[in-house]
Amino acid sequence: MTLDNIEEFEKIEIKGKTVLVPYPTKPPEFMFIGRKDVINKTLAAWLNIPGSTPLNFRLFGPPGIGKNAMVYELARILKKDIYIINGHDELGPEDIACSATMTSKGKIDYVASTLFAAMLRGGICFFDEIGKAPQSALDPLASVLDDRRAITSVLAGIHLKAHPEFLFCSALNEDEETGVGLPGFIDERTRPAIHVGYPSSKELELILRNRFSASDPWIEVFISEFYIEKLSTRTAITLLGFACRLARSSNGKTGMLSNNDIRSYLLAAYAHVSDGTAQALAAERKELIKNKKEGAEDNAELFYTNEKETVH
Amino acid sequence: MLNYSIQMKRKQCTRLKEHDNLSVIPYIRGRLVFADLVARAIEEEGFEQVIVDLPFFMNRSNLWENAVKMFPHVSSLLFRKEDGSFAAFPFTPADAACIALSAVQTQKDWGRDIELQCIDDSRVIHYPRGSLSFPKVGPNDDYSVFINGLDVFCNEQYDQLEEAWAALGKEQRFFNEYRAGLVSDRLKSYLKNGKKTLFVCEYSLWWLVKKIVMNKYAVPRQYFSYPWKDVKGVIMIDDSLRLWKRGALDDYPAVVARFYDIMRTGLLSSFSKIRTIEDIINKSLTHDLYEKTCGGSSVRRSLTFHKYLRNTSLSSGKISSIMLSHLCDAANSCLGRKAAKRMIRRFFSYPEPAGKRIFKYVTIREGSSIVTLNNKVNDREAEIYLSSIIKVNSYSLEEVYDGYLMPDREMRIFNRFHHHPEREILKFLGYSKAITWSIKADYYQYELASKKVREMQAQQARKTRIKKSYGAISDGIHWKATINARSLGEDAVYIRYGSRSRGKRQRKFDAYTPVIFIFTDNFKGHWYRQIMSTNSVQRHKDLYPGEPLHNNCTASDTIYHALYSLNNIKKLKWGHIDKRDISSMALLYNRADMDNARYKAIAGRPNRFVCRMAPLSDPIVTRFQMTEAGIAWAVKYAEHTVFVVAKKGWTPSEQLSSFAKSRNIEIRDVSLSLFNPDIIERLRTMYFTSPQLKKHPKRDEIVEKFMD
Repeated sequence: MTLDNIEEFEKIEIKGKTVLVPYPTKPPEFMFIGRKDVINKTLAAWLNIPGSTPLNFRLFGPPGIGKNAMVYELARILKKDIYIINGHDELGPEDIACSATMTSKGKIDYVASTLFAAMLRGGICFFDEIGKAPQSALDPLASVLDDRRAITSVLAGIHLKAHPEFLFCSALNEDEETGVGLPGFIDERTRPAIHVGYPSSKELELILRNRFSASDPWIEVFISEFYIEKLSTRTAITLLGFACRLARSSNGKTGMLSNNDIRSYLLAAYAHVSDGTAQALAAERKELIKNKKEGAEDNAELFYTNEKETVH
Repeated sequence: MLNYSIQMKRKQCTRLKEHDNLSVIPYIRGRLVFADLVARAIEEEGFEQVIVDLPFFMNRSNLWENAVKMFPHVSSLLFRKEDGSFAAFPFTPADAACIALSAVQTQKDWGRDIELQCIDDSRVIHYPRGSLSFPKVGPNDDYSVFINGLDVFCNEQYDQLEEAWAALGKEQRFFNEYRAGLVSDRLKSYLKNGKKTLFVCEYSLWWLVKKIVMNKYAVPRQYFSYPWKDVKGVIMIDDSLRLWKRGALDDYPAVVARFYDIMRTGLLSSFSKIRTIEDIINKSLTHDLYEKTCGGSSVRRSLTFHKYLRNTSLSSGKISSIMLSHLCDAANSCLGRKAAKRMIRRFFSYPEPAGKRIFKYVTIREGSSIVTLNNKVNDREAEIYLSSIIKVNSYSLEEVYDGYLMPDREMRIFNRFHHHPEREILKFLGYSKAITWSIKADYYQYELASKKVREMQAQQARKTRIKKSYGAISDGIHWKATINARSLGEDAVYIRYGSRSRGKRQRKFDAYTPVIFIFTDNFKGHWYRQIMSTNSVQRHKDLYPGEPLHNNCTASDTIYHALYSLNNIKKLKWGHIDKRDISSMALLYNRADMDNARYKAIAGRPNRFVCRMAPLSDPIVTRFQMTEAGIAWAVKYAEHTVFVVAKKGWTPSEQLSSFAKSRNIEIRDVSLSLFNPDIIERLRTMYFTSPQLKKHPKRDEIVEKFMD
């Protein structure tokens, strides 16, 4: 057993109190492709203008389309450390600021949150899935995200003013943004709200080629087979990877397959991923493609029949 | 907002050593910066002669005078070319040549002796399509003219033209050289009179004319002979947005209208495009702040918008102008979709005349003369004439000069926010007063809200409750709370209790769990309506009454899935869209499926959960008060639970409680205050469409354009 992958927090003394401060997250190593438009918007939000604080933007969009990857890319572009908080049901206000832990000697140490660490060192704090955090957990963010740029931990008795280089951004899923929305005070403080949509088929192809460099015919068949779908990057990668594994487990190799074989493996993988049978999906897709090709818009009423309302 | 002041807006023009009496303002068509320069030069510099690069035939008769008199209304000279295609010369206040005509007219009206000459080739209207176009010259921030100067700005463009020239085809070279040769000959002859002259010339033409005038380019002797015939045309008051799309009204039509207003007062030096844009933005934001109660923008959002807009402009290198795409992005992401829509529409507002479109019709004859056939055209005559020459939609007309379109991105934004084409579609569908059909966008909002309600309930069930222990251990020690207490000096143990409600059955909530939203306490003056879903047979009967069915073997079926109360209906767009103010909504099924998918999803359930009796005729429902009728209906068809989303403090009446108890249904209430006010406002508004619109393939997009 190796303990190389375990890293202790940095111990610092703040006014006589020992505070354990986490190190920045190491973002995964991969090449980021496309999305120049959104990257430019986010960089504009963080533009360093004397006398003006950077804006705390939020990204929203369907799951798996690369919001997190985009933030990692921003950290790479700006050459800054990134600190990530994940929003969830159980998150409390002390997890946002500072919590306490007991040492084996019975002494109490304070554990700084990643937000605290980013504010202290001037890094990027990325609040992922902010829409899933309870409102009470978001309360300490109010002072961080307005002109005060400070956080108070009642538990540790510390008031920290953010490093001038500190940056903040967050991400949430589209249904959380367009549905119930964030609490008003966070909604106001995390603007601009930048939409990240599905990648274009060109971008998706480039991403897949980058990830699966040796499997060109697979990617070609995949793109031609799924071109009308709204596929997230994550689903596309999972699907393609799973289809390749299916082929390998039944054939032992993936290089010599015909396009029809590849198609059948992809459909089988798709059926698993989207909880349906391959035949039903194939029929559904065939119908969609046929409709699209025949200019189905002319008799579109067949597909646009909705509920009617009567007046009583 | 941006670092730009009016003081920087200095007058500028180009001069040639060889001709002391000549000043030139090279311009880009449709760009306000150059119109501003030209208007100021004519107003303040005392020119005796103004020469513009409009076709020579415009010197004859009073064709252009008529067009510029209509300013700020925009117009076009439309005519049919020999090859049968249609072309247009736009007249707009944003065009430097057109504003030169207007400014000369104004000076003449004020008694100043000033001449105007149009010197471009009259045959330009017969040049083949694309013969004058250059490869695209790189985009330039044209407001940098005021910062770097006109010469610097033009020199950058000329360097690019120099490169582009080498790549031009034989035909393009011929027409450019031929035209420039003719223009330079005419220019030289007019300069001989020694009058102080201003030449207003499109920059790519001037680039070549300048070389010829300075004897740096020898034009080969060449002729463009064309069998010139009478060309029939009309001057018609045009649609400002159509011309904006063609790039003839600068970035924002509203700014052009303001520019023209100021020009007429003779105070052009006080005009600033940037300041005008800021004024429009501020007016929009102020209006929104005032309307805050109905989902407008807050002060913080407004400030964030200003900051973000400045940042995007700066980071894109546009130091002194605001692009529509930036404006739209910033408004959308900082103010919200609704406020963005309102703001962008303000920028597109432009005075449109009421009444007839045709102003005059003319014949352009060989020998470069214009014959005005009739000044007073009656409308019927005009319409017949217009339809005879324009069989195509006027939106597809070509302009005479190429390279004139607004960039794609700007066009996309326009199409997203403006409902010009959609209005035409609805107008075409005629008036409707038939039954209305619900739309997916509304159901989607309710799906999201219902999902959130279910999530909150599930969260509630999972929630760990913590309390100080006085000996009991309940569900175990809560270490985090205990250590936190210790760090604050409290010597206590905290325990978790009551999690997962031991002994209580965990209920599964899904899209079939009814959700009732109650937005008001006061139902006075409100009434109920119901929404049903039908199978394909009934749907066909409703949508195509009288038409035979292809497959008549199935019986028609109707099921009810929503019951709502409302207090106001607003009919929009010839009755094709209904906007309704909802006060409560009860949903038996809360997924945004449409058409047969919804019917199948509901009809496939056990019969006791499917409502086939009209709720408003159901005696069980009607015996309840207005405030609880929707809940009672939901209770009747629920499996085990109904959620009621209402204002804090809502409690069911005794009658309702006992009814629910008798059916073994649990009523759980959720506070409405947990929802964002913007979302509540959206939920309170529902849209319905006419049967005609429902059959339209782009129905959802059309309705979306007319949503607030």
